[in-house]
Formats: sequence, structure tokens, C-alpha cells
Amino acid sequence: MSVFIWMLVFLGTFLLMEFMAWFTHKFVMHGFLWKLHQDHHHKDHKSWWERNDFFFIFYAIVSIGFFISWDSYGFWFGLPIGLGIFTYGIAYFMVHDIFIHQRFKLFRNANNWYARGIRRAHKMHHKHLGKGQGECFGMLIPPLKYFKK
Amino acid sequence: MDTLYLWLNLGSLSIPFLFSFHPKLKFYKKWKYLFPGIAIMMLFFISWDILFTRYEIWGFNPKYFLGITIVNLPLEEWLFFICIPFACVFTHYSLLYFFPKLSLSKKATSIVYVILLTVLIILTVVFYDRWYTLINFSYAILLLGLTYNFQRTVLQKYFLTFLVMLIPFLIVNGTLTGSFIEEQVVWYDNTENMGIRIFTIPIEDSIYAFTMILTCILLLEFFERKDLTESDTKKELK
Repeated sequence: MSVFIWMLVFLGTFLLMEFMAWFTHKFVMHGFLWKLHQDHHHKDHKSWWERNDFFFIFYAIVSIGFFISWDSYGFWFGLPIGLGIFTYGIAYFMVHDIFIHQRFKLFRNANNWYARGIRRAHKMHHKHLGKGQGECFGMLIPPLKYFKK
Repeated sequence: MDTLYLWLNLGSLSIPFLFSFHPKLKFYKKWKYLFPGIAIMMLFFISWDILFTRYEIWGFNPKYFLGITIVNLPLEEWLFFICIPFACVFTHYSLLYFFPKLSLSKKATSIVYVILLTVLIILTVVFYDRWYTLINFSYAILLLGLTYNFQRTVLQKYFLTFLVMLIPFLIVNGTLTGSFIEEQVVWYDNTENMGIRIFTIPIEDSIYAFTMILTCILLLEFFERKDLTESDTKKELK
């Protein structure tokens, strides 16, 4: 097993997940599963959990599926793919749920160029409360204009 | 002697544990920040260990451990990740307690940082196809970069206290890799590291220890800061 291919699959999966997140967000969450995503835009209950968290479970299952394919069925690509999805999930949760939405009180004072850009872009997305309208559906890689002063 | 690895753990833990209750040092007061830090460090380091053991990048000699394994790691290996960080973090804070001025200047820290980072980046690129070197050095580059940018004062002290920790490191890790004993407790596949050994220790192990302990110290200080600011706000409210 070549390390180079392994890393390529891992990093490729991570990057592809940004596309998947954007795609799922724009066409599924703001599409036919809007009901599950709605309480992320307009919270109508007091629980710490959101119905929106089901989307994490969905990708966790996909990731676990790849781990099992590696562990039990000898599909070695399963490990870098599973880890790529898992790592993306952690990064997404840290940036979106902790840093932006402050579900845990961490990273409150982050103010570097990346933090500012991400915060601005996601604010634009949340300006709209409805299902139909919207912009900035991606997460970790926002449009470059948000990094300019 | 199938209890060797266990004794190495207990031996490393013993003195730091007893001196945690030193009436002036009072290291036990930091435990509530240290153990969550160790737990988070273990999430990453144990997963890494499990995978490397499974792919036989390193492994354990049944001659030197009790025979109890959790997942695929000997019980003693799990204990390693508790005892060794405990002992090293204790060393860090007791050195700082007895020598409060122990700290590199900002300039010296920057110089050490740039040299260390440059060497690590070059070695990672050159040896990118060896798993131990790649994962170990990539994590070190990431952690060093973050620490230098966000917690530089920790680095100013840690660069010095780590030098002291290298002495017990050489003894314990030396024994683990086969110095002083017939075989080795932990063996390494030399095609997955650079193949450079200090006595019997793969040179990567020093960076491994460096990042493992630094991770614990950073998390400890993070939890401590958080707790102190929270208790401050509570006091203000009262």
C-alpha cells in the first residue's frame, strides 16, 4: 500500500466532503429535508440538540460503513475514506457548531483572517430565514470575497 | 520477566505521584485539569497506536507484558499513556515551581521554533512514505505552529523543561526498545521510520514524546484558564 495514494485518498475525501456539505445543504437541507434543517435557522424549542443534528448521524453512518468495509471486508481504501469523512466532520463541528454558533463556549475570541471570513460568510447565510432564498451554502471554504477587508 | 513493562509504568509514576502532595508544590490541585487533558490526548494517540499495531509498524513483545490486551494493545500500553504524561507534566510544573525564571527569551524561542519547524518540514517531505515519520512529524508541525501562534509563553518554558524530561525518556524508552535487556519490549519496523536510532530508540520517539506531553500541557492550561475565568465571573455576579 503506497503512502502517497493513501494520503491522496484521505485528503481527496476531506475536500470532496466540502462539496458534499455544500450540495447536501443547498439541495437537500434547503430542499426536501427542510423540515429537519428548519430549527437551525429558526429555533422553536429550548433543547441544546437540533433536529438538524440528524445530518451528522447520516454522515457518521457513511463513515462507519467505510471503516467496516476496511476492517471486515479487506477494502483498504475504506480506512482513508472513513477517516477523511470523520476528520471533516470534526472540522465542521469545530468551525460551524462551536466557533460560529457557540454550542460550547470555546474559541470565542478567535479573530484571525480565516475566522473573520468564515464568520462573515455564515452570517450572510443566516440572514435568510426561509427555505427558498439563500447564499453561501458551503462551510470551510467560503467565497474568497469574504476574506477581503 | 513478563511484568517489566508494568514496572516501567509504575516506576515512572511513583515519585511524581507521591510528590504531587508536596505541601508547597500541591500538584494534586492541577489533577482536575490534567486528567481531562490526558483523556483527550489518548483519543488521538490510542487510535494512532491501534492502527500502527494492526499494520505492524510497531508491536509488543509478549515476553514483557502480562498478556491482557484491550483492543489490540497490552494493558501496559494503555497505562503508558496515563503514567508517562502524568510524570512528565509533573516534571514540567515542578521545575517551573522551583525555578520560576526558567524560560527562554522570545527571540531564542523564535529561533528554536524556526529551526525545529524547518527540519521537521524537510524530513517530512523527504520521508513522506514512512508512516511513523509522516504522521508523527505532520502532527508535530501542526501542534508547534498552533502553539507558537497562540500560546507562545508555553513554548518558551517547555523548550527547556523538555530537555530535562529527555533524561528519564532515554532511560525508560531505552529499556522499552531493548537497551539493558535481552530483547525489546516494543519493536519498530525500520522501513516505516527513518531508521536512525539514539542507542536503541528510533529518533522519531523524541518528537512523539514532545508532542504527546505538549498536547497534555496545552489542554491542562486550557481547562485551567476556563475554570478560573468562570469562577471569576461567578464571583462578580455574587
